[in-house]
Amino acid sequence: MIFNSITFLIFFFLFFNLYWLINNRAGINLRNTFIVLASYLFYGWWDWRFLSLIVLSSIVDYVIGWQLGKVERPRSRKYLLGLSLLVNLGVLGFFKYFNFFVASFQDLLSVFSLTVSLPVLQIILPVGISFYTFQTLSYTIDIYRRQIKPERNVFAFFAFVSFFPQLVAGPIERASQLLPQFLSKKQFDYHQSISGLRLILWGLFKKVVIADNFGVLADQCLAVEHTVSGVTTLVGTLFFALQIYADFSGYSDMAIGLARLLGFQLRKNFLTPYFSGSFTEFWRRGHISLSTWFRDYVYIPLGGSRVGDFQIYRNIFLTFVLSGLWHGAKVTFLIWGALHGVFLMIEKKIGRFLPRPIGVPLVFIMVVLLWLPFRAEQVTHLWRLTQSIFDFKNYSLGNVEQFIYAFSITRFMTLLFVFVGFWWLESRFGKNDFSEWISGRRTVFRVSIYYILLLLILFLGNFSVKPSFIYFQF
Amino acid sequence: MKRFYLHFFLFLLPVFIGLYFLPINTQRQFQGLKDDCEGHAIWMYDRIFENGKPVDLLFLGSSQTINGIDDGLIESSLKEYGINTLNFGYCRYGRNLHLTILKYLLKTKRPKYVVLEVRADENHYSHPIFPYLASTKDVLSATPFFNESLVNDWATHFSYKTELAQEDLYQPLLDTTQPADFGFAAARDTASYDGLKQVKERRQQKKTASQLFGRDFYLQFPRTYLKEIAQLCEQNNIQLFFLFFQIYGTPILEPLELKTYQQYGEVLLPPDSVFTNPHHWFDENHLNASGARSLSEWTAWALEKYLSN
Repeated sequence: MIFNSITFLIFFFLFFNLYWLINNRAGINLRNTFIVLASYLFYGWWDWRFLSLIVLSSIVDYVIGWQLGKVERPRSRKYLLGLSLLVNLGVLGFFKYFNFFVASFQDLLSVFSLTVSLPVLQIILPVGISFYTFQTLSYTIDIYRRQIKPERNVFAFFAFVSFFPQLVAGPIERASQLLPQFLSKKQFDYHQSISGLRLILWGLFKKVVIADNFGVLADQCLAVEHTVSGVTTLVGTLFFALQIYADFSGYSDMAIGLARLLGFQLRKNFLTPYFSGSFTEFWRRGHISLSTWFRDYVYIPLGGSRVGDFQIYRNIFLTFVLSGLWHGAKVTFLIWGALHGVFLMIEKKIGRFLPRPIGVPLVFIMVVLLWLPFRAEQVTHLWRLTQSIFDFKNYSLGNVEQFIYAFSITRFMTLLFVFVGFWWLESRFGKNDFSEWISGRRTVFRVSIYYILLLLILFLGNFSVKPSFIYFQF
Repeated sequence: MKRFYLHFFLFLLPVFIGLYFLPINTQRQFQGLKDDCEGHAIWMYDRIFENGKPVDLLFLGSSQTINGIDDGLIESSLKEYGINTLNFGYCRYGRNLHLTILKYLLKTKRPKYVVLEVRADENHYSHPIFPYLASTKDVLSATPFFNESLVNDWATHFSYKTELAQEDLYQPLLDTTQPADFGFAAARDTASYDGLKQVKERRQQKKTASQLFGRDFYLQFPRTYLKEIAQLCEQNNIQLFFLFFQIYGTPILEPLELKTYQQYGEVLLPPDSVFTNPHHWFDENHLNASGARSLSEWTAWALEKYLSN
């Protein structure tokens, strides 16, 4: 079930009404059970078999968390934590990385002229597995570190793991922040709900107008089968950069908005990262829930910045390579992560010396270019695209022009015009989200913006693409 | 919460009103279905709005009509009456589409006779194309009893409407002119006898629709549309006929809704020989050219009695 689908609209409409009815008339446990069942229905809509993984993950971490709360011996606690890591990362590794490691091992052997035929499994990657695995892992690790206490209420814990607004693509929540919210009765709050609707509207606009329109062009410019010129690659990469940002941040906005309608607060996941003056700032403002996860559970345990220079650089690099690997079992993701790591290392070394008016566009350009390995299908594709950028003799607008005409020049010009407005609005947000930014404005202005967004969704939204979100595949 | 619902509803109300009155470009509406049913919708648009040739005798139905009614042959058989015949069959079933097509046709033509395809039993589903071709008023006021697709049809209609509005804004109209005679699709091949034999055995054993539980309940949907078609025909002085199409090997030899049809018009029951001859079939559900010839000749003969009166 995708947020921007009619099925979800009907599902949520029914859920919303029943949820508040149950919340107001019954106990917390019944309400949480209802959340779990609805979330399982939401998730099982893709493939009911995947539900077994969420149930397994929930049971394992509930039991291990409970045991960690009782056991005091350091060695036993380590074993319990190790078991949680083994199960969660084992499931993740099996479904996401098994074939990748088999293929990589075969490639490695082929370097030494050895050919081994290893079995490759026909596995479907369960939607959003990396997100909920990381969420449940953080729960066990936090208990192990004695930062939180284990949750005894099984209904609340299962609801925390499966909460559908953020189940398949985050934000990756921490137990300390989200779990307590399942333990209290909710009061319907008009202002919070309106704020949720605003975020849903803004997220939907980003998704169907910005992401899905630029996505069509990006797909054509960067398609494997096309012969490419440098201009096509560069323009395609820019379109992809806009697509992926609007797609994922749009999803996050909708997730946060949906949660607010149910009385829950999720953390902000994006703070206009393309307006960052450095790579460090970019990662503080973009996909915040993942970057802070890696900071707290990988970078800091490795020693963070409280070690020698060499170890700091190693820690940064390793953290970002792992972040690349988290995105998918492909060498191109590793390259993307590694390159970000390298730029952060350089930044660490030379310090931030560029003023914002220069730093912001420079970082933007660099970040956009770094999306190229992220978007490339395979290493050979990445190589071909990279070569085209440096093949200055064959620079021409040819393909881009053709793609834009096929897309419709009027539509493209309208999109550009709208995009400028969107970019300007985003540049005003600062550390606020859309709802916070607009809430202090005059009623006429606010309502006008809502209607403009609705009209743009209806008359510029791209509904012809198969509804999906890029980050579901992770 | 009441305040929230009220404000949410009031906010969306102008959008719904705007969407309701949003004009649709009829040509684009038909054009959008260019990949469905071999582009029949585009040809239908041409025949209704571009082609000035009148229509006196209209056949409405599914792909069984497309394959089984040779409108050219019927027209030549009835040439002494000067009857312009048109096969307006459209793939798949759904009585509400027939009403929609008839409404469109009445905008430019004045048919005297309409022949509706009927099968062993009425299909109780909304036609998948209905939300694309019908007017917003017709989609919203579609009968809810027993219409499983009601909400889906609403959603499809409004989504198609905005898609068409977007096309109006950003895309030029395509030139999609179709050849004039496109209604009847002659299928030259003949189905394998062994295959038909197996189908017949299977169908003879199958529970008949009349035995199904709740039939009267879910048939309210097609019955409502049959009534509306009949009323529209009456308002426009059109004589309504029902032509029974059997499928190969069926044990049902007359339509189960015969009494319903008889309230509204004459029911034409072709002889079993048209349908029992295995050489008349392209597949288990559709007649081939030979079957179409046989059925069309009989239909022309049957209709002649009414024309001569």
